[in-house]
Amino acid sequence: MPTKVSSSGSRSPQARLNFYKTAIACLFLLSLHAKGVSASATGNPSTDELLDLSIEELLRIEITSAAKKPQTISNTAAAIFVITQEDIRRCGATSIPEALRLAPGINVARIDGNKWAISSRGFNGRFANKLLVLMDGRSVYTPLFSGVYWDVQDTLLEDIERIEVIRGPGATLWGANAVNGVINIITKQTEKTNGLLVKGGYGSVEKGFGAVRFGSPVGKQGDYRAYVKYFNRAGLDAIDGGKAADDWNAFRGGFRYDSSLTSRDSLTVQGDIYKGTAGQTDEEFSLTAPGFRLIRNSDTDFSGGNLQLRWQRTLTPSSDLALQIYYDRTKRDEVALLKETRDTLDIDFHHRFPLGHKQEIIWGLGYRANWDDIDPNEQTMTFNDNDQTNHMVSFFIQDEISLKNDLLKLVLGTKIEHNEYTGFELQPNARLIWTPDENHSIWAAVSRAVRTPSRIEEDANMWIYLIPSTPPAVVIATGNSDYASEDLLAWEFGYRTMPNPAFSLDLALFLNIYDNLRSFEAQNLDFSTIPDGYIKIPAINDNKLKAKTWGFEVSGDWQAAKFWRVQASYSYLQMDVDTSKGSEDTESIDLMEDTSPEHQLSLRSSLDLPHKVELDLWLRYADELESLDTNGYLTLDLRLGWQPRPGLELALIGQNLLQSSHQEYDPEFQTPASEVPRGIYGQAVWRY
Amino acid sequence: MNCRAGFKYAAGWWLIGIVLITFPTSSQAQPKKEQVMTALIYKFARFVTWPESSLPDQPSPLIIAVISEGSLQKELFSLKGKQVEGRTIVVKQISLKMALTPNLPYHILYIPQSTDGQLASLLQAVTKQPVLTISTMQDFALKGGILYLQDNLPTIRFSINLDRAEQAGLIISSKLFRLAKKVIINGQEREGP
Repeated sequence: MPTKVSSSGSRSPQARLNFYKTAIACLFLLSLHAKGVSASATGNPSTDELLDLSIEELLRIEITSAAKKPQTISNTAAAIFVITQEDIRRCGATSIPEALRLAPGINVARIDGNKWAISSRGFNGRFANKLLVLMDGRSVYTPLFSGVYWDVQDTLLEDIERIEVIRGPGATLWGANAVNGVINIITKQTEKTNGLLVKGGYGSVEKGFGAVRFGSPVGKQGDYRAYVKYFNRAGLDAIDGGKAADDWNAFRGGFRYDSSLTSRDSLTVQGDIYKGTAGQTDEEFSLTAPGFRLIRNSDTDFSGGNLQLRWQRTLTPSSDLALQIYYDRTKRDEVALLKETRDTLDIDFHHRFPLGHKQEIIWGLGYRANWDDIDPNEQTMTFNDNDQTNHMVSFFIQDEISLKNDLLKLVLGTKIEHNEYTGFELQPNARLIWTPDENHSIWAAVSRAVRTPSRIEEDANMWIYLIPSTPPAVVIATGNSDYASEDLLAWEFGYRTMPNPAFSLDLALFLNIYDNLRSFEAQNLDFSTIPDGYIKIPAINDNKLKAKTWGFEVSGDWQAAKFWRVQASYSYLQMDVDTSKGSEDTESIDLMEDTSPEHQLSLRSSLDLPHKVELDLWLRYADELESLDTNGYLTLDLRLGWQPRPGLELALIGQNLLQSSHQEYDPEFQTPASEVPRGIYGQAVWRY
Repeated sequence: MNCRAGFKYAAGWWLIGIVLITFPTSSQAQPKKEQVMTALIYKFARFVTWPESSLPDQPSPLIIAVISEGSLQKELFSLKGKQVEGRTIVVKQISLKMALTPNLPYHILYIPQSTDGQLASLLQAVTKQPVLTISTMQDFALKGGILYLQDNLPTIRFSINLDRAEQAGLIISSKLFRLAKKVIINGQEREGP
């Protein structure tokens, strides 16, 4: 921690005294480092450490001036990446799925105007089922198919504080289904959103959007905010030419209130409501020759709301309690397939406390109830039981042990969860992180995670293939109450370095070994359905596939100059899926292998020009998807931003500029893909 | 220079030498300007006395209001929950418009870069109110603000407008203005140490 002698050459007694104090301050800061007080093993001292210095000492500390450079090496023993509000603002994304492209190793493939396939470390699909997504701790993962309806997940992007993206299992803390990754979208505390924000924009795909948010203090201890937003997006390009029927609009409103009830208690109450329509082309099997296909355009209406309460009590500076309760209702009214209403009640309790000087324990209890009401529209997807209630209880404990003067940290933990489909599930992990100095850290982890059965796998009958014979034969995936959880054993290794404050590099390697992956096992022909016009080939949902995947993700962040930041990432993925135990389902192998790109690349440049002008460039490459017959693509987004006066920000954004349109995915089920066209939009954000 | 002072001086160099030799990488571990400014603002709060009317009962918090978003504003939030003279610090982000509303219960107001017009109306809104205004805007103290934090690479310095502090009903400890680069008192600008 160098400090500098006053530049004045005079050596007055006062100057000498100051100089001496400076040296003392220097030594003091040195001792902080030697003792490893800096809990985060950062390259910079924390502000807390500075608070112990006197004004005189502070006035002599030499500072750095780059404001936006990466400051710390994360000391998390997991492949974590944090998307900040500044990243979101400068990338020009208008939706959460598009913003997730900022995270290395996350494969975001746009299927059509309102559908995405998003996954990490393989197994992508519209109904990808190995990624857990939370918004302020509220799970938005649907147990229907163990995935996320991305068209429903949204908030005012300006209110997002950060998005934490963890690649690899997070099951010990987050529970079943955090198999290949966890995405945690965290919104700002209301004390940071006081005032009025008005936003509006229009463009070629963005056919008008607007939002208003207002925040204000309530009393001396609390603040609230409320927002409404609306957007209307045009359909993308149909693959065969013309416009696709995948336009999308939604209206959403919400509020949040944060309060310090006492000096040690804080309370958060928040909620949202939404309503919207997402269009698509449905492609369904039909018994009508010659095509045996029913193709039509339809609109899916969706609506819902949630209310959440969070109470946190600080017991001591290193221990606290938290209790969170939320209720969520979501309703989806598809013209094809089904109508679904789902209610979720979730209660979570956490307690963190130190055990001796070297250990920190965190443990928790959770309960979740799910009520669904499913109303199938057609015979192509039916359920044995249309209304189900499911309860899940869980317990987790994690111990973080500091060894070797905090240079080495061992994390041991497990989650025990009980669900009604498969009973008890144990999900332990062990993680080790070594931080030899402020500039390097090395970590390794081994963990087990499970993906519990979805409602569909357990209980539904779903047409998955039709053989155009006379009469036609229909392969029907049949729910299986004995269907087991999918199983993952993950080995991970990571290295982070920050050789200087302006540059950091993060590398993560993984080897994932999966067992009990879903297969469809064909049974004997069933002629009992001949009066209905078809022969049934039941294919029982079973667990007879296994897989090995491995790869790595590397990302770098470089503050090349005070006004120029460059971020790059590359990820590599290999997948090897195979049948086991006499399975005959080689078809499903193709649904898993090569549905995520082998290579992915992202390069971003953020330039601050004079007169408050910003120029951002974002180049992205995704490799071909062989199984889906989808070509790789390279594309470019550009953003030009300008702050003509404090509080007002104007921006012009061009997206997917390198070609008139490109296809990113071909979904496994129900709807065809669209091509993402080149787009441009302008927006104004005014804060007052 | 007497013998004793010379010894101290040499000891100082020696200490710095040790630091530089044993921690060659530590030259990279400089704190950010925002961190040092935040620590300074925290320290300043101890040397300012607010009138009883603005901090009535002892458990009432010390409220720092920051206008709009920015890197210093973000860093100031790390003071949240810290204690100053037995009072808990509360940090709030407010909009320009809210800062213009008179009679708000803030003790410290951080003002970001603003136009001269905006600054004038902001200072007008808090005039004669017990609010310690702080900014890094050039000539902030000359323009009527109370505390100007100056990024004077490689260190930070500050100036105080005591006239404005007095109008606001704030009592600023003499220790603080002894350390200031410039002090404005009775309409006169005075160079500090």
